[in-house]
Amino acid sequence: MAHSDDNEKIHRQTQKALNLGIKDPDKQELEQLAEVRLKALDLATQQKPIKKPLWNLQSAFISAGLCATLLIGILFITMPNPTGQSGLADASIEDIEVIMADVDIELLELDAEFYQWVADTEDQDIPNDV
Amino acid sequence: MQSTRQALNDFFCAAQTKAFKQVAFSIGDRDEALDIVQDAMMKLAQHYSDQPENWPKLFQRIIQNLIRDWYRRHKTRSLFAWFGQTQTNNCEFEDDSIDQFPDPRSDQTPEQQADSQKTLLQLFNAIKQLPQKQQQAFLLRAWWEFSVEDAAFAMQCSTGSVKTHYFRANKRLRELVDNLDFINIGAHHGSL
Repeated sequence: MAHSDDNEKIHRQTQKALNLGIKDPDKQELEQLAEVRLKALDLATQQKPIKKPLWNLQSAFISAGLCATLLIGILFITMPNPTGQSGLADASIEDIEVIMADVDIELLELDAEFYQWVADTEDQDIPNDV
Repeated sequence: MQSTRQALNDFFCAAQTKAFKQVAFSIGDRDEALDIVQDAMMKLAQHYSDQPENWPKLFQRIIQNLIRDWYRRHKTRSLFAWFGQTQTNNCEFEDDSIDQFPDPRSDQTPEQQADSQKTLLQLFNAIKQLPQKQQQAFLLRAWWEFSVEDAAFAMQCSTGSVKTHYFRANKRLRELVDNLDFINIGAHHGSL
C-alpha cells in the first residue's frame, strides 16, 4: 500500500512538473490542431467502401488454383513409376548412365564407316533416268 | 454517425493538448510534435472510428509508433550529417529557468517554495534524461495514468517489459532528484 502511495505521489509530481514545464500549444498551434481535427472527423464519418464478397471469393479461387497446379506439378515430378522409382529419379539416372557410359571409340568409328557406306550405296542405287 | 463524430471530437479535444505536450517533450521539437499529433488524429479517425472504447490506447499506440519512426528518421539523418553541424531545436521549454515552476501554495515558507520549485525542475529534467523506453513507460503510467496492460498495448510489448521499464525509470528518478517526496503537491493539473 505504501509503495502504491509513493507511486501515486510521484505520478502527481510528474503531472505537475510536466504541465508546468511544457508550454501549452499557442493560438496558431491550436488552430492547426482544430483544422486537422475537423478533417479527421470528416474522414471518420465518410462511408467506408463495402468489401465485396465476390472479390474474396475470386481470391480464394485463384489461391486454390495456384495450390492445385503446384501440387500436380510436384506429384508429376516425384510420382513413382511402376518400377518403384520416382519419375525424376528414373530420368536422372538414365541421363547419367548415358553420359557416363564407357564407350569404345573404335566401335564408334566402325559405325561411322558403316553409315557412310550405306549412304554411298543409296546414292549409287538411284537410276540415272529418274 | 453523428454521435460517433461528436464522441470523436470530444475525445480529440480532451486529448490533443496533452498529446501535443507529450510528443513535444519526447522529441524536443514543437513543429514536429504538431505534425505527429495531426497524423495520429487522422490515422485514428480513418481506421478506428468504430472502436470508441479503445480510442485512448489506440491513439497512444499510433503516437508511440510515430515517435519511434521520428527517432529512426532522425538517427538516419544524423548519420549523414556533417560533423560540427548543430542540430536545430526550436523547443521552447528547454529553458531551465526556475520561474517556469511557480508554486501556487501560499502556506509554504519561501524556502519551502524554492525547494519545491527546484525539485520539480529536477524532476522535469530527470524525466527528459530517461532512455526512450523508460520514458515512454513512465509517461504512460504516470502522466496518462494508463494501466500496465494498456501501456503494454500502446508500446507493443509485454506487460513484464512495461513493469521493468517503469521500475527502472522510477529508480533512476529517485537517484536523480533530491527530496522527491518533499514536493508539496498543489492543484492537480494532470487530468484531461
